[in-house]
Order: sequence, then C-alpha cells, then structure tokens
Amino acid sequence: MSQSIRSILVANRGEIAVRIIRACKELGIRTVAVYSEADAASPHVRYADEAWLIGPAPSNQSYLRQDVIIDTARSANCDAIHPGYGFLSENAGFARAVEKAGLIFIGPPASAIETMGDKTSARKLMIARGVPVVPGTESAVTSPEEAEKTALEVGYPILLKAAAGGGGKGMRVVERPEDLRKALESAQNEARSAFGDDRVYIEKFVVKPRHIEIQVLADAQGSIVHLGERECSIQRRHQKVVEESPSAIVDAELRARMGQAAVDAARACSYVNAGTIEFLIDENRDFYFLEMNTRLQVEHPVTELVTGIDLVKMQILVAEQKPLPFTQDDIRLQGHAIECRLCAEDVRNNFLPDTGIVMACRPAQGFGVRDDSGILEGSEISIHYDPMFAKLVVWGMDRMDAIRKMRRALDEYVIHGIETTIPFCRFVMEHPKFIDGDFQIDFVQVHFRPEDLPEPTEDEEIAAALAAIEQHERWELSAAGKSNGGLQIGRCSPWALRNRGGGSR
Amino acid sequence: MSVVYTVYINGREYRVERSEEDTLLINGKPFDAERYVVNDGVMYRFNRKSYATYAVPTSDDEPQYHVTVNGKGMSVELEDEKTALMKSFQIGKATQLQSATVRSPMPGKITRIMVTEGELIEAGQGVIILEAMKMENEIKAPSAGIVKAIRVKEADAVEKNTVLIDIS
Repeated sequence: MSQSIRSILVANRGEIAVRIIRACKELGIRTVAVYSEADAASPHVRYADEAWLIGPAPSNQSYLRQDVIIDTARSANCDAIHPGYGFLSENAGFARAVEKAGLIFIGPPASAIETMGDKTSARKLMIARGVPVVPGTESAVTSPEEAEKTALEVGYPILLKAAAGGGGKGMRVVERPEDLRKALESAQNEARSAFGDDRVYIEKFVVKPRHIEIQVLADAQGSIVHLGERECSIQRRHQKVVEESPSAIVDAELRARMGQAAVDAARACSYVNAGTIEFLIDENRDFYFLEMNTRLQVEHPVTELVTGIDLVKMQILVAEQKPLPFTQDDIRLQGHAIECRLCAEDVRNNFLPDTGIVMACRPAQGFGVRDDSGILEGSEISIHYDPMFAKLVVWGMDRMDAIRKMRRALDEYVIHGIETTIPFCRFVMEHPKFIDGDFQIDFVQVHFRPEDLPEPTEDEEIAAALAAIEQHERWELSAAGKSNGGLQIGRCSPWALRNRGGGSR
Repeated sequence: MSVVYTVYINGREYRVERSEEDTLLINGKPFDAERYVVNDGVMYRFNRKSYATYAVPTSDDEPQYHVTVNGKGMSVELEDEKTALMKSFQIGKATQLQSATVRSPMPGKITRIMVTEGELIEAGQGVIILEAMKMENEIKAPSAGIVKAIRVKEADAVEKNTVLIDIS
C-alpha cells in the first residue's frame, strides 16, 4: 500500500538540510524549511520552496521544538518530515508524535530507534542474533571479586565503562589484574559524581581498533541490502573528520561477512529505511558490533559516490512504502570516495572551535568533486550549532586517484574569515600512514602535531605583510574621517598607483 | 615623506618601507608587486606567483591582523614609526618583555581560571577553561611572561575577543 509523498518538511539546518532539499527537488517534491532567527538568510532557507520561522537561535528553542515543528508541518500542508541527522533524528518520541499527527516520519520505526538507542538492549539483541559484540558483561559488576573473575574470562586488557557513560568519564583501561580493584573504585567514584549512577560494566579493550561501518537500506516489504563499508578511523575528539569507501583493509570476503552481520542486525530490530551499523575492527580483522545509528549519517556521500545510489531518495521511496528497486546482487562498488569534514576549528590550537563571519567562500570544483555546504559568503558561524559547515567529497578511479583529487580540491577551496580543518585534512592526505592505509582510531593522537603543518613561505609572509598594512591604512583613513567609501580606499592605498588593470600586462 | 612599518609574522620581522615616489622597499631591497582587488580580498603577484590574501583585524586597539594567504592563516602584528618611537622612549623591562593579552576566541562561559596574578607562565600553557559549543576548551597563553591582571572571574559570560588576562 504505497503512498506518494508530495511535500516534505526538513527539520534540520545547514548542509544536510540543503542535501535533502536537493533530492526533493529532483523528485518534484515540494520542500518546507524551518529555521531559527540565526538562520534567516541561510542557504537551506533560500533553497526551500517555503521557509517557516520556528524560534530563537538556541536549538532547544527552535530545531528541537517537537511541537512547533509538527504544527508547522501541518500548517504548511506537508505529508512527511525528514529529520536529517542530529537534532530530533534519533528521538523515538518525536518519530511517534509525527506518526500520531498523521504525518510520515522519514526514518525507521520508533521501536527500532528505541531498541538500538539503548546500549544494553541493543547488545543483548545482537548476542541473541549471533552478531559479534565486544566480549564483556551484560549487567553492571556487583563486587570487586566478580569483576576480577569476569576480567579474567574476557581477557586483559579490559575496559571499565560507566553505564550512564559518555565523554570518557567513568572509563578506565586496565592492563593487569593487580590494577583492577583500584581502577574499579575510581571509575565508580567518577561515574557517581558525573552521572549520579555508579554502575560500571566490563568490556574487552580492543587494542588499536579501526572504526568501520556498514550502510544498510531496508524497505517495508522486508528486503534489506547493505551498501558496503565506510572507513571512519580518522577522528579528533571522538568525532570523525575523514571518511572513505571502500576501506583500505576490507576485501570482498570480509565485506560480505560484515555486510551479513549488518543485515542481521537490521533485521533483528525490524528495521526499515537507511541505517548504519558501526563496528570496531581489531588488528586481526575481527569485528565487533559497536552501535547502530538509526538515521542518515553525515558521511553518507562516500557510499553514494561508490554505489551510485542516492540515499536520501531511497529514504523517501521506502517511506512511501515502495520496495527497493534493487537486490544485494545489483549493488556494485566502483572506484573510491573520500570525504573531508570542513569545520570551523583552529587545528593549530587543539581543534578549538572558531566562530565568525565567512568573508569569502569559493568551494573546489571540477571532475569528481562534490561540495555539500551549508554556508555562503556572509554566513555567520555561531556558537549555537555544530562547527561543521561543509563536506568536501571526491571520487577517484582508485584510492590513490581519490587522494590526489582530494589534495587538489583542498588546495582549491577558498574560505576566509574563519579557521578551518582544511590544513589538517591536507596533512592527512599527505601522511604516509594514511596513504598506506595503515592507521587506527588513534591516528590524530599518534601522528598529528600542529608543528608538522606546512609553514608559510617567505613570499607568503611578505604578501601577508602587504595585506595587513593595506588593511591597516584603510582603517586609519576611515577612522580619521578621510575616507567615505570604497573608491577612496583604492586611491589612497599604498599600491594603488602600481595597479595594473585586469591582467592587461 | 616615506612610511616605514616593522611587521612581525611567525617570530620573523619584515621592514616594509614606502618612499615618497611610492616605490616599495622590503628589508631595504626594492620590491615590485602587482596588486589586484578581487572579490575575496586583495591579490598580489610577484616573482610570477599569485598570492590571494584576506586580512581581518583581531584587536580593537592594536594593529594586529589575521591574514590568510593562499589558504594559510597567520597572525600579523604591525608597528609603525610612531609606535616604534614611543617604544624607544620606554626604559627598562617593558622594552624587553613584550606584553600580551589572552583573549577569548569565542563567546562562552569561564569555567576555570588556572593561574593567579603574579604567576610566571610559559608560552602555550593552559590558563583558562572556557565552556562553549558544549565543550570545555583550554585557552593557552600566547607568550611567556607574568600574569599582570586577570580580568574575568569564574562563571563569567564573555564575548568573542574579550581580554581575559594581561601578561607582561
């Protein structure tokens, strides 16, 4: 019983809202953007057929307002809501409220979000369905004696992990049995003070793991396919920065096994729509279920480029209760894709987020280059939202071709007014360990030192000196009231007389 | 009258001089550059290479700029003749120890101050924890020196570029 979607409210902002609107335009679906006061002139607002203001800048007063968003969808005559990623995308309550309002939630059933959102229930379900998980306890440890016994069974090194955990708090790696009691006590103390909950689990500590995930697509008819893997081990602050598909260490045989495990995981929670199963993979290439992300991922474009499948269009199709137009045998991976997340961050200063106005923005272009961006010149990067402003994605015939293309595209990308992760991504593309595919999730800690970033040349510094002086004199002139606009600035600037027009020389 | 600037970039010094006849000297040598205003800043060309630049002031009262050249960002500090002259009149310590300030790189809340007034600190040492964008960010001292004044207290909300600490 399929049902055509004619109008979609995009409950998100930035590049992902733009991405979703693009797919809708190609499908002839009317789009409704929602926006906060801070985003009034943002690209997603301009691209959509209609734009509705939903509140002030802070997310909890705008993009997280479930009631306002659902009311807006009804008032604007939408028949579906796409949540994007982040914000309300993995909120089972929201998915239910959308359905209750008689609208289609473009995502999985609320029950699947719930099951996979709870670490303990997800883990139990995976064990029951034979999907490999990191060995460990299924309930919190009750005594030091029990902890010692379990740790021996699991095998050292082990990881103590707070049940309510997050952000590394209440976590301890224990390498030797004699250190266990002390570590357990301090992990419990830390968990108690941080979360008011001192329950601690024991897990095997996977040494030097890689983070590799599998994209799945499931339709309402029960067909589930996987679209290969994404390698996401290049991370800073436990967040991905560079992703690629395929992974340098996954061959057809491993891909088939991981793909099957991912399909099993999706089937276990009666999954429908696009989802991602994240795995840790150790040095022996044994893989363990980490978690399932029940939404579209930031890094979905690399999968799109190697499979040729538009994931957002498939999400909409599946939400219309239509069957997937392909089977597993039809899926082919061609070439290699890499994504760099461009974030407003100072990579020389511990990836400290930067804010400011984007004074100039000229994305990379050319064959095999895709720029999914949420900003324009004049956009403000504020403290209210994620510092990621664009994703630069390239496709090459093979991995090395893609790396070369990414280097070229990063060099071509012009953005002024904010510090960005571009120099870091450039560093990664040049690093021998990355080129060899020999890296784990600790790549940044082990290999990256800001001192290794290329220093400006003497000529670049001279150019900077000239630019600063020119800016300075322009400012002094206007401050002294000697200037009243752009023309004067040009005439008064130190090198105005040496100006040579339009390359006539 | 010629105009002379001393420009500090990445610990190096450039002397930029413009004569009355509008010729340019860099470190005493004549320098010829083409200059074009483009939509994203000013482009210079010398030695047959192009340099796309963009300069943004980073201070309200000091001639300090953040300049991007071909995608590489750098901090640039200017000193004109007036400032240089004033400096030469100052005697003793002040001329040897360059004073500096720690500014907030973004709006946020001060969660912890890690130094006290009068304390000797090293360049790159963490001095303040600023909570912004749901993260705790360690703000580091730009240069070594003595903490002259702490201008904020814990739990203060600060804007971008607020002076947090004076270093002398």
